[in-house]
Amino acid sequence: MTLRGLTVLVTGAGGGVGRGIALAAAAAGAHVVVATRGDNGWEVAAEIAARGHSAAWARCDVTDSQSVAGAVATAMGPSGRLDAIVHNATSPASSQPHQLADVTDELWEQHVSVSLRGAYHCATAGYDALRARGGTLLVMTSPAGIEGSAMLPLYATMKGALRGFAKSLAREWGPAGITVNVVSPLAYSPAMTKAIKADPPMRERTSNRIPLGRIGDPETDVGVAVSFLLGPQARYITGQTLGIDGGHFTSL
Amino acid sequence: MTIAVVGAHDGLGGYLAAALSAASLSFDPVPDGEYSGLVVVVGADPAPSPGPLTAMDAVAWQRDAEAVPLRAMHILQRGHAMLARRGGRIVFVTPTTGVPGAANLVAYLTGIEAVRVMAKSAARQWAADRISVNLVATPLQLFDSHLGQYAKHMTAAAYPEVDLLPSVTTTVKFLLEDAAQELTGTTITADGGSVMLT
Repeated sequence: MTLRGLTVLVTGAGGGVGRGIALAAAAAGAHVVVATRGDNGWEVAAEIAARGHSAAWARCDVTDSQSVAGAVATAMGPSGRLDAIVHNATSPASSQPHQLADVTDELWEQHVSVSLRGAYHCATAGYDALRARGGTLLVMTSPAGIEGSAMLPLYATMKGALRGFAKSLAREWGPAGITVNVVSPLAYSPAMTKAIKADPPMRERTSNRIPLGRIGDPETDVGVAVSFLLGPQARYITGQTLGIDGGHFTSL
Repeated sequence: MTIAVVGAHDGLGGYLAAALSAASLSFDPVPDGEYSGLVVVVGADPAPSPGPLTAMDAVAWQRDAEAVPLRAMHILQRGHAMLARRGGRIVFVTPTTGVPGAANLVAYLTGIEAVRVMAKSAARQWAADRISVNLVATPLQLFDSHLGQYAKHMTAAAYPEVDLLPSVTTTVKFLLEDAAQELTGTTITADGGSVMLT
């Protein structure tokens, strides 16, 4: 598998799964644009370069259409092409438990502006570039986005909405040769790492619920599978949700 | 049992209100009053603006994809405040088309699928309050006859020519009954046998 010659833009790539996808795509040969709101994207881009691969950092606030357009322009800069966008960014509030009955419009805005509006911005800013060579758009979901969540109802709502977004967009963009898919990963994230540090037995409890017996690695488990979806061997896959989770969720 | 149907006063919402002998309420303002069950018709009001996503401006995106689930959340919150003391039923009626998706309705179906998962999450959180939250999914053209053209890619129904409104009403009625208390978070597809998985 190779992504050599392709340019891939990953939002929310400053840590966790986004960083893993960026590292894996770069290792597969892509020029990766690490798009982050904070400075941590620069560090990931530097890490990729230190490994001998190609990357650039774009400061990108996905809630701002102009900012996303700027990241797309950064991606197009070196080669004039953008082949794939991975919209991985989520609100910092996404992992904070809440009661649906108590959700304010302000909290709603924090979630929707990053997850959904961010997806809209990525799609509209990237369409022309993706259409030029038959590219791909990838968004992220989770089991919560399929069966709901008692702990994180807004997070679940956004993740379910993204599946709806991707399925419809796959149908709409199919004639343009653009594929649109969804990934449901289970891997170490900064939030999970923090939770395990606070509650070490959580690692074993979580692992015991995964048929493959371990929590995934963002790069070597999730990133490489995502790289397949971004690459030339997956051009007939669109509108699908792929669980990359060690078999954790099989109810799709 | 006192039921209110929240949604369009005419069309599917109006039909359900009449068939259920229920109060017919609009989304705005968030319904007041005391009811033992709420039926929320999502997908008819506002009518979506079909077209390519790339031709959709930010205002239209927010109206179709973001405002619809936000309004559904407000209704759910009102329903929870209304029903938390004694329990009750909330039933959403949504288009089936969100399940397979449809071109030219990206924003609209993003909002619809947001509502479906939000309802499932509410079902999980509010079971302890004896509030069940379920969904009935039915063909897109029942929400707006002009939208049927955008669902032509869907699998032909096993019963293609039947009037589905009585089936939708019967299914909603069943989900409002006390006997269905432990049935929660589910989507029952009342579409004559087109979408056979949810």
